[in-house]
Amino acid sequence: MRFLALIFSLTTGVSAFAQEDFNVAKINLSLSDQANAVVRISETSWEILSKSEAKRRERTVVTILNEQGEDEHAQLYVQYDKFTKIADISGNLYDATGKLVKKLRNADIEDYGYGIAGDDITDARIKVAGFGKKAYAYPYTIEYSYESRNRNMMFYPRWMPASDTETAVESAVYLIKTPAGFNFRYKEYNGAAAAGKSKDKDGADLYLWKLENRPAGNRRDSYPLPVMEASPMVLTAPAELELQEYKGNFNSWQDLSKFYYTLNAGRDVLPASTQAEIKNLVSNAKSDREKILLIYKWMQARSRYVSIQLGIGGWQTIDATAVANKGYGDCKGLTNLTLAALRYAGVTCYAALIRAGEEARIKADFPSSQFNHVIACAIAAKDTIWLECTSQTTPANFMGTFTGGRPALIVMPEGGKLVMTPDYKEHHNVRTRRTDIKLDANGDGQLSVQTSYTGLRQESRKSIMHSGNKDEQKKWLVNQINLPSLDLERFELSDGNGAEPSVIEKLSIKVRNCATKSGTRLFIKPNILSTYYELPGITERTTDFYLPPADYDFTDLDSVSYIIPDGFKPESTMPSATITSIFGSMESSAVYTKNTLLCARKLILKGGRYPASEYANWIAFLKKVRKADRAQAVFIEKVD
Amino acid sequence: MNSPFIISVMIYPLTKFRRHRRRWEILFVSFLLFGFSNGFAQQDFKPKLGYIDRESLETAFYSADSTAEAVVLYDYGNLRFSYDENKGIVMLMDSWVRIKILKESALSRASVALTYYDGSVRVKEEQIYNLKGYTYNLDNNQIVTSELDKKSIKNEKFSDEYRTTKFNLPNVKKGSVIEYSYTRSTPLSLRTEPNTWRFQGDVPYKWSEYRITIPYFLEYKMTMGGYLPLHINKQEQINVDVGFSQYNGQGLSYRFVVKDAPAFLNEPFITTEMDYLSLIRFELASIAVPGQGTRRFSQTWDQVDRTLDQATWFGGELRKSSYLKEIRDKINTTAKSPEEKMNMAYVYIQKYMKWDGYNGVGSKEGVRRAYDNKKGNASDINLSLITLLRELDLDCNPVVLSTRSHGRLIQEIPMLENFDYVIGHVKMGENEYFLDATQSYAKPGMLPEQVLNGWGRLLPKKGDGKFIELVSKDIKSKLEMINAEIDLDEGLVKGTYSISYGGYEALNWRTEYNDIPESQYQDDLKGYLQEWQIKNLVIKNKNDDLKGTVNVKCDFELEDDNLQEGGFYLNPVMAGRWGSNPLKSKERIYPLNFNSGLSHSYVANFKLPEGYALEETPTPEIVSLVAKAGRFAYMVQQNGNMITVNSNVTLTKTNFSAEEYHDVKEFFERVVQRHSKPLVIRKKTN
Repeated sequence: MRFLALIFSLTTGVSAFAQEDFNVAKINLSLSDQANAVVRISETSWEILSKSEAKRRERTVVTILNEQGEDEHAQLYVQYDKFTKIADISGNLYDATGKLVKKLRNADIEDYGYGIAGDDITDARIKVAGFGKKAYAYPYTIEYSYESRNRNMMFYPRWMPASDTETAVESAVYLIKTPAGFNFRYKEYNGAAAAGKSKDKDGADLYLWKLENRPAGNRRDSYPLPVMEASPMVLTAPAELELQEYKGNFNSWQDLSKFYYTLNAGRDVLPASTQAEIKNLVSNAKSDREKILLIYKWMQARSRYVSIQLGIGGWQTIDATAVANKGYGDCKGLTNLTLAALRYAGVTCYAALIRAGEEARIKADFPSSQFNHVIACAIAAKDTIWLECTSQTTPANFMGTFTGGRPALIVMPEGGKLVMTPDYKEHHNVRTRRTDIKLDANGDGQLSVQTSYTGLRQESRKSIMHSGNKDEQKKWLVNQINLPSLDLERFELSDGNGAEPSVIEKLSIKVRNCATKSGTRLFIKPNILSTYYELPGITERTTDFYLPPADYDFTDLDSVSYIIPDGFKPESTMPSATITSIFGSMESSAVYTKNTLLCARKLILKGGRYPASEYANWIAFLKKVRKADRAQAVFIEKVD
Repeated sequence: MNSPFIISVMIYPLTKFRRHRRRWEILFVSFLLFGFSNGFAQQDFKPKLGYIDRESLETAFYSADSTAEAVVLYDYGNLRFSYDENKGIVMLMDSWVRIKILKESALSRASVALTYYDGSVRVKEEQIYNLKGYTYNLDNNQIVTSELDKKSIKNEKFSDEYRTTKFNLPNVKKGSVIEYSYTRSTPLSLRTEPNTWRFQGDVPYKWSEYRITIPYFLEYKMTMGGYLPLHINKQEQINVDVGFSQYNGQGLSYRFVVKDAPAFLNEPFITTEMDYLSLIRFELASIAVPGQGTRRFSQTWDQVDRTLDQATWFGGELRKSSYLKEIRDKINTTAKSPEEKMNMAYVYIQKYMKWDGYNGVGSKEGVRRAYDNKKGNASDINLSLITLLRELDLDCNPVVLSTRSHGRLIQEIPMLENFDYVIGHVKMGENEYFLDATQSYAKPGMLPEQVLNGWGRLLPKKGDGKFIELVSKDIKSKLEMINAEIDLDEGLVKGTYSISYGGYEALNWRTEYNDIPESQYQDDLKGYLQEWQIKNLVIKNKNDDLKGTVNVKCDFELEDDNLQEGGFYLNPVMAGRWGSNPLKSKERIYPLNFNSGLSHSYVANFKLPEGYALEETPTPEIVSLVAKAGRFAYMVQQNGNMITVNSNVTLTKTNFSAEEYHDVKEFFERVVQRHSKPLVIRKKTN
């Protein structure tokens, strides 16, 4: 009965529950306990009218429990563009007893352009609705609903009703209604319950997903899983679609690839002057690899990135001639220009669709439009060379945290498929450091440090090297160095030589109290510069945990040599440690010979997803590493 | 309404423009003195739009800062006034920028967005026109100029009231010089003052020039701030043609140039960058409308006071009180003393009205409306508090002020724009109180740190206003205590730990943790006391008595495998340790400004195992900053097998000059050093 009532409510846009009761007292305490807000009702309906059009309805009723909940839920944001028409935004506000106290007026809805900066050109807009002028006593309940018509059928709504961990969900439903026998695709993830299928009285097909009584998650999880891995989710996509004059189907990655190919075909013609430039540029190149590197450098040196999202242009590139003439474009435009140049030079190459961003990944088992970026993929003999065309400084084939280690869809007329981009593991992300320290009898030290960074580890340094001025670089470095106080006298950041990108950092630092002088002793830290890993506040957990590879896949190699001032001799035994674990390993040691204390440290960490049962081991491992890093060597004044 | 104005020229006293570095420089620009000598050799720079010199293209880096991502070669603004039939007097601002791109990260400077008013009120509409743009490159040693294509200028509607013109200059790469210019027309009915002109930015500026020509019927006050000298400072009397004969006549033309301004880099412990940047600000002093006489705006402090008093959004609000009668009567019947009245009124408004997070001298939509909405800006809340306190027959008056983020209050320049906040002031016999009811967890008489910014202006009901120093009795105070025992058998330090948060530490704690589950604080405490096993955590006085401290207590155990038979090292500052110096830069050119004073105390008692003692007792240490500005005291005492450690860091002064920077840094340095020193403990041999 409830099921039917619900469908009725979704398809008419009017609440069918004669007596919906939003009294806060009705909320189960186990739901609201750790939450900032509770979603009482969340209804999403996607009514597919044809291959080219659908109607979307959203209705949410949220009880706001505190200020954080208010910040998160008090306003409604609805984005739209040339393909989307918004109608009927309405809202109600109820007090704690569930009594209606206010209705949303038109004046409470504002409309803004989506892009503010000059390099963000878009026709996307956003409507913002809220009851913000007045303060309401917590808890209170807000209801919003709206309807939209959509003519961009590349994207069916993704349903992820519990993505905010600090919000509990009492009831959420997703309904898809299609003409009888209409074919589309869907898949459930992360424990989302399977769809219930039925027909309405007119014979239309109905698919319904539900989520009920999900409490708020852990407030400050130190190691949260990426939301795409943790939160119940349903992905949906068309089997076939029509977008303006384009027709396609999305049944496989190959189909998607073909659709994008069609959308962008014939836009890669270069102006004659550019053709001449390319011809000249590669005239002495001996291999495809050489051509690729030359063309990539050429493109980087003559272009810059500007975000352009206009109409179908959000998915269709600006033609290569326009980009060549203006010297700027978005990711599609710049990639298209690069590909056009490569093709002109006779190199085999493709556009590749990817989901960019740290930790951003597509679900490879569900072909659908999950991408937000385009890169170029060039073939040199048996090697693939990936090119990020929106950066002027990234070396060829370096994908890093932005696009590395994930599937990309190669765009081809036939046979397009997912291919993995280069991944960066602990043996790629290496920091090698040599530190020479001259101590005086007061414990003050003069440090000379040379470090090389590779893989993901060089990204932040490369970025500050390319964008910061001397003062900014110095400030940044001082904040990176883990010493109580220091005077960075000189520094130098430079590109390393070698095939893989690297940064060489040279520092000259004066450190007061480098070794702690206490009475007649000197307390010396073999590990002086490497940062400590903090212990998390929470010591137990019941869910899997995640150590992001960008932070936790690495190798540290340290060698530190202290020249001990005359008149001191070692008092304690020299510290050393060997630790191994599934999370990595550590070896550290210190040896004293001829007034010199030589310390070595090697730490390897392996990030990724680990089961909850390993959490105690992780904490134990961290503690051991911290202990080894804290170890001191004690020297005492010699008594003659 | 749109008819422009006429007047007689106002005459201003002239204060000499000083050129000391590291001093506040304030410039009164006089209408009287023309040709005010600039004292510098007249080295001038007048480029031509659309033409570039080869040298600018050939330079690969900027010699004064070789790592700068870009250099602004020329930043020019020329402000004029003109008459428009429909809009009346409009400001016409010609802007012209020329930038050398030195690094890839600066390429986005070739993307420009200009937002302008385009609301429903036609006469207020702004316009951007004469937009031109060029990119210059050196290709094969030839200067190649690419012009901005008009078709690639986009115009987007941003909101109901604003539109944005966006353009991207073509063919920009590392080494290019970009240039664009445009004119913006702004009716005086939309904004009465020219925008503040900054001579400095986030990259070096080689030449920043601002010109303004003011017709006789307008009078502006101009103030300068910052640390850079003017290269050209010129003014002359000229004939001004605004395009309408009635308003043409003698006027004044100014030209200001700052040369070779270094990039401005933000430092910690400053109020706001606007207090340190080189800039020029404007305030309208008067408009003379023909037939309507002269409309004066704030010119002396008395006039500023009067403007405020007469403004509906300020003085007018203070004269409305009907909505507060009910609560007034209620307080009157229960409160027994004036203090009690004050406290009850304060707590009432504090609880009743929610702060929307905005500052404000005046109410936006009326205090009454905000009161009914139970939500408003600082002015809505504090004006209703002041009204209520006056209704209760207390001697209560508003104090208008400038918050830290709004910048230093310049007492020498009477300007309404100086202020962005208002609080209440109560005088009760000998006692004075500052009241701000925006903070949910501040006790009566406590000002938020944002508000502590030197001076405010007290505006009594009758009589003259005066400046009053915003002093706080509260500081950031924290007391941490440890009573522990050292257990060699188990290799543990175990005992109790307590922490009391007072003053601003208490306010900050309550603001952060009061409205969320306690588990969050527990997690944070575990993060602060790494490696500790914490049990039996009790938090007292979370918000029962806001005058009292927040008190946290727990039991703890800490494994320490350095605790070995025979002898061991112990770092006695186990909590509240100053692990690093908050002042990192070696040098500093701006003054230091801490929000409030601080007092961090740490007391620990350690019970050593029987037969163990300090190998040597460290000498006590006392470090003081001059004039009692700060003090650090550290002492270790031994009594039998008990060791007591005392550490106290206090900072009384909150403002230090750049010259004092090294002393303050050294002061913190000594704390950090002391706190890192372990004690050596040995088994007694006899």
